[in-house]
Amino acid sequence: MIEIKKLSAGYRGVPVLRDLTLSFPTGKISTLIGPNGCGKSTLLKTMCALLPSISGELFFDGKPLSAFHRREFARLCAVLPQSRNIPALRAMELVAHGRYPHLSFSRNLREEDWKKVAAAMEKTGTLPLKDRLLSSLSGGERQRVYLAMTLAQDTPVLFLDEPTTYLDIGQKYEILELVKFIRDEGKTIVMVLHDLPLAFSYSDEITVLAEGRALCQGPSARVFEERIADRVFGVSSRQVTVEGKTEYLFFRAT
Amino acid sequence: MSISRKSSTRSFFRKDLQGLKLCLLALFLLLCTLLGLWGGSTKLSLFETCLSVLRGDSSSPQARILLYVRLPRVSASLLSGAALAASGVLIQAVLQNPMAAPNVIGVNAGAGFFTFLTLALFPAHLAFAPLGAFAGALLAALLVYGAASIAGAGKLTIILAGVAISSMFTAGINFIKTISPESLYNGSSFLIGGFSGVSFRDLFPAFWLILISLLLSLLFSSHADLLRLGDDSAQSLGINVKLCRFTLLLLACLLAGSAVSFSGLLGFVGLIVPHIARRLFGVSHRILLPASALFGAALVTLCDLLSRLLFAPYEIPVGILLSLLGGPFFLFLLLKRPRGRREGDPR
Repeated sequence: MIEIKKLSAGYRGVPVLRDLTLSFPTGKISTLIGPNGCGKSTLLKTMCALLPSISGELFFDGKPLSAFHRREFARLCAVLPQSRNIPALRAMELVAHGRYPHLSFSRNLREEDWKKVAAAMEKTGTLPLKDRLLSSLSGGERQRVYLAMTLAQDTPVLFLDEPTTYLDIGQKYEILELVKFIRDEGKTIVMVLHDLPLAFSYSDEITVLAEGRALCQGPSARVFEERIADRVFGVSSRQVTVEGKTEYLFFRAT
Repeated sequence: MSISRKSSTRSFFRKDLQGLKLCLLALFLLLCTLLGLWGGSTKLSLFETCLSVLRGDSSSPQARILLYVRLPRVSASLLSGAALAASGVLIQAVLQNPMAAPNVIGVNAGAGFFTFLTLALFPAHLAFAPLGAFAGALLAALLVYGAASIAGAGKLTIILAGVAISSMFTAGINFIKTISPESLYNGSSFLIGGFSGVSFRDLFPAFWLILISLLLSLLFSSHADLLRLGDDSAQSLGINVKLCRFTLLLLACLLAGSAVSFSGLLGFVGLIVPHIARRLFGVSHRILLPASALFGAALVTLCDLLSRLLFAPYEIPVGILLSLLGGPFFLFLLLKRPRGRREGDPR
């Protein structure tokens, strides 16, 4: 369980988020949604300690963030950041970087580290790409390789910042199915998504942010029924059942 | 899991090959060193001279040349080559910019300016030169780094800021040279970079600084690897990105500053050697750093030898030769690079 208490956060002392109190349950997919500039990426960055908070505190299973050592925190939370470099590395070499927080002083990967790397690549279907240069991969493949790196980090908590940007619709589903699969293994996932239909169909919990405040947090079905996203984005929505599955439609409000 | 086993043996195999290549490079360096000791306007019969020196007889002219001319000179070329090349690798890692190098971003010019300044102000204290050089190198690096982080650290911004700072310090050097020409016994060769007249006394403090910085930078090689992933990823893997950048930059300045203090503004090594080494050894800093250091040492020693041999008994400053040979070679590398690949891809 990740708890946020009276958190203010932002850049260079100017708060984007004000006085937030939220909690994210263990073993679930929690998604932050909201219009551009509402502070969802800021919140995610603050939660994964990439950005220092201005006031307030974050707790991971009751332990405050400030009590964590860097490497200890890196063994608890892995992050897929929004902007990613494309270093001149082969896929497997990149994934191996995920083992860094677990390595001893000599920084050599042991046999079991390589096993974890291979397992993470197998899970994300990137094992056939292991000797390819990152620059030669497609956007979707590269995304999965980066996800494999965060999985190789072998943490109970995963933060994903816009994991589906730049991907086509098929690749988006592929990534989110993978996220679901990871959740079913017991990991806690907190992510930011732009795509509302995908956010509602794949999340257990939804948090709606607007202008630096949280409007609501709860199970995605309930948040949908309360039409909060409709109000925030100025759209209308329908829930339809296609082949026994609930899908969400968003369209322009009339 | 069969797949993982296969991949791990593969990576070990690759490592072995890297080790072998590194050994070959070390052998090449040894050869260059011996050639450097041998060659010049007077050719030494190395074996006999060494024997006589070891027997305690260093009075023959041959032995005196070996001990007081060749040995300091080759040591200087080895040290400065290794230091500048390693400094180039570190600066390229810190700034994440393949165009960066100690001479490009003004570190060399800063070091040179402060070396001049200390020599002009305290002519009696040669030992201050490396310290002044280090201070100058650090000042230049911090200026570039600061300017880039204020203006948004675009790759071009860093280079342009470096060019501006470099030209400021070069102007400073020329200013001192103009108003106090007697403060330097060989001012013009300092600007180009060269080793004529170098003695062990000039090398002594720089030697330790370079050795320690090289070892420390090896310790931080895996941190340098992580910087490649971008700040956010590196930080979420548990390193303090800002501290790591600063430490690596500090080491790069120590290396370049120490080298400049006795070799002058030897420019091109720090830019081209990391690129060549990356072609041969890949991008992992644990291999790349020692490989660049060895290669830089070998290259500068070889060029210094040529600079003595080509127009013997006259000699040209090694900096001229390095630029003459290095420039076309670097262009060749750029043109040969397969299209659609990024900087620093291994083959």
